[in-house]
Amino acid sequence: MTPMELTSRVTWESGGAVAVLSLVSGLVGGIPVAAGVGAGGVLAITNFRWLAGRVVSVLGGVPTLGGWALGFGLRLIALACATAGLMATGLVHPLGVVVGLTVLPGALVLRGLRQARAEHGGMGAIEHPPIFSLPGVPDYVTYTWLVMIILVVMSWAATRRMALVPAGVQNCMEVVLEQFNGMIDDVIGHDGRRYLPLIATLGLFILVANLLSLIPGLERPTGNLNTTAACALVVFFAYHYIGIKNQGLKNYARHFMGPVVWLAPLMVPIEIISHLARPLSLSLRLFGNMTGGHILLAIIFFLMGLDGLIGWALSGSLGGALVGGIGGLIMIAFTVGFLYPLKMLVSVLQAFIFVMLTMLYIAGALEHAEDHEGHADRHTEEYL
Amino acid sequence: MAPTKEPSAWRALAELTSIGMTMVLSTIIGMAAGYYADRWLGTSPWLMLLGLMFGIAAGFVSMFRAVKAAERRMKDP
Repeated sequence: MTPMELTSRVTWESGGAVAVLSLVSGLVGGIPVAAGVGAGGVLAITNFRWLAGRVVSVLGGVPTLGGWALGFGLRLIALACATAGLMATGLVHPLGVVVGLTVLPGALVLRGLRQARAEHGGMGAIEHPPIFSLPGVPDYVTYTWLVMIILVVMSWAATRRMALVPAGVQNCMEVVLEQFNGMIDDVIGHDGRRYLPLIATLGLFILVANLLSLIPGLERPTGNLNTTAACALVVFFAYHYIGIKNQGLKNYARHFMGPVVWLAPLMVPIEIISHLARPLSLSLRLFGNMTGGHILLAIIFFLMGLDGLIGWALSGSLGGALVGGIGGLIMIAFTVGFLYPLKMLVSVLQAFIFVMLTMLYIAGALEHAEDHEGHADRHTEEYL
Repeated sequence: MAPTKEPSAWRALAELTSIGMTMVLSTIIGMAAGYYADRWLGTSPWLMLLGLMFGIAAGFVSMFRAVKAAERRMKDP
């Protein structure tokens, strides 16, 4: 679709929307409101067509910077005068004018999104496909393997030449695992260090997978519900297994019965539901946060039009170079200075929350092993 | 005043931010289980209502426990 086609299509669409809106508002609010909506709509469309014409001619490299700036200023002055004149005559309702003016931006965004979807299909329009993909293997699986390779290589490098006084990669990994051990001591207790392999593996896998999404051109494994559900199911089965292994099936099952026997018919379904909610919330939280952040980033890029700005900067005309260059620099600074740190924070935080909840669930499964004698009392107290 | 232990704050963050989600998901799980049981046994809509009630109760029990545990830890860490 050429710019001219796009212009005429947006004109027709927003013109139709303004006509319908002014008819409806005329029925509701009377003639002044309808006239206001119509006038606002006509102003906005005229302005848009004017602007579009200027942009096309700038991209063609026809006018000079002075002419462009003059036209820009004249257009704004004319627009302001027309709006003020409309308000001053009192023939139209101010609210109507505002409504009429806002129709066009909405129509423009809608048209752009529809266009993008029609051309490429969904997010593919604003998102580059992964730079590397294996035929016949879903991309998130390929990149899960990449995460595995990264972790295996790091572990191998850390344990290759183990030294009493660690250095290099070994030092780095030891610091990370010490952090895990510290958290386990805090939440589960010292005995919980037995579960370090499970907890640290999950944590490192999710962390690396999350951070992978920050590298342009790579797919994020945790942005797919299958990956996160797999992690959550591992946690779900692991903590039940740990609970049963530590206190036997019978004692662990009492965990589900509630404080007193006659409450058991009520408590068993409630406990089952709340245990089923755990893996579901684990997987949905991780998936939602990673995908949401990703879509947000893509939409911001798309709406701010980085590619358009850069194209403008390279168009050859001085005005285009100025506007496009400054706009592009502002956008890059915003992305690198604000959006990337934000995504990094979300990545680390989500990995941390996943690990912390895993430890809490394991601690909960182990809990009754020690104070089984005081089981009923303690629980009654907890419910009161 | 005892020095606040850093991990406890993080632990509370993980625990308390999941309350809202757990409540919603518990309700949905209860209702979905009831809905499918109804379809299977042909007793619509009674099992769905029962499941919904259990789901809501489970959500509240989870919330109650999480808040209670956080409160207890805040008093004596």
